[in-house]
Amino acid sequence: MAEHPFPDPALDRLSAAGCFLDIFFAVWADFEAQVLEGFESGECWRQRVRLGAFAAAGWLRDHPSEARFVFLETLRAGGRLQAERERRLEKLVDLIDRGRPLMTDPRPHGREIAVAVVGGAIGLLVQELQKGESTARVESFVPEFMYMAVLPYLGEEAAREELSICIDNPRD
Amino acid sequence: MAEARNGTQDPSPGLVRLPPGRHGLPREVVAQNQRDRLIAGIIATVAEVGYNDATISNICAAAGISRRTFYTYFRSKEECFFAAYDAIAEHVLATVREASAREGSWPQKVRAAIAGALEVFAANPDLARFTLIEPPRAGEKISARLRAAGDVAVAELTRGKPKRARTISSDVERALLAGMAAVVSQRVEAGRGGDLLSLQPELVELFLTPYIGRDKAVAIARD
Repeated sequence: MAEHPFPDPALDRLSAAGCFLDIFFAVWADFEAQVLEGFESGECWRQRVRLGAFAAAGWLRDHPSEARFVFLETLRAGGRLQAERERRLEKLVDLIDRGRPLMTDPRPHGREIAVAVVGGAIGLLVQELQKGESTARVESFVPEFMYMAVLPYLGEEAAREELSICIDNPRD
Repeated sequence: MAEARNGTQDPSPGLVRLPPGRHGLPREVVAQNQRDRLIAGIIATVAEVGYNDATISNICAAAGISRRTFYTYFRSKEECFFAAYDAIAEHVLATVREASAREGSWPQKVRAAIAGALEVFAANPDLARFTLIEPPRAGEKISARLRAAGDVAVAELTRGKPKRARTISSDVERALLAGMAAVVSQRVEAGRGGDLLSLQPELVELFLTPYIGRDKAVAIARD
């Protein structure tokens, strides 16, 4: 058998798994950049989360195939991709967890609330994708997501306000 | 199988292999033992390598049963998976119902139900891996079973909810449950499945707050 002309690292890049991983990195980077841009444009944590959530929903609406790839197809992939996916989701958890110092009571809340908020939204998204639903529907869920995200940190009144936020003008 | 107080059984304890050769046991006892061992085998195998990489040979090896005997009971890996999933769901549901039946008010019932489910998964984290972590990775048909189980869980948790409790949308209810599953899954994936019960206060507060407000939810969760 002839010696393979490629050195190992290049071979890895050319393998199906390496290619899959590269595409995942690129697509996720695009998604994350849009979410972070939305998040950073806000003036307070609550507004930042809202703008980040609308940015995420906008990306999902505009990139249905990519959304299916990064959120659904990667679930079926192997260990390394799973780990990379989890590591990136943790960054989103960090954004929600930044609300922890805003809590008014001294109870020792852990990071679990933020994990549940992000995990709940992603879980719902995956369910919708598995049912073949359009990613455009995600935008209409943002007020309810905000209700879930704000409630544990800022309480009922602030959370209820999120349910009536105008989708066309999320900064208000 | 090890029988729990509620009469159902953890579907994946170390099942006893019957002695080889003539043992004089009735045919139906042997059949039940073999089927139970295959169910325990698929739970252990899926926990170890995941559903997609689990093979019928792996499952049979874990169960100590021949491939030929496997096909006596199941037509496919998927069919075996569903049998195991249903057995676990029945066990969790019975545990949850028994726990909540001992409580008076609806929020207390929710707390007991969540504690019951966490106890089952803490006693055997493979069951959490099998029912919560693997299904979304295993294709549409198996994922659909997880969604259906989620609907049952929401119905169970909200059963007996007082009329004065706030109404929240079904999307939020599903997201709450998915969020709780994400927290449990993360802990199991981190190899801390035995410590699941410590999540009880956070999960109870998380689930109850939209219905009864944070103060009441915290009081119940920390009681």
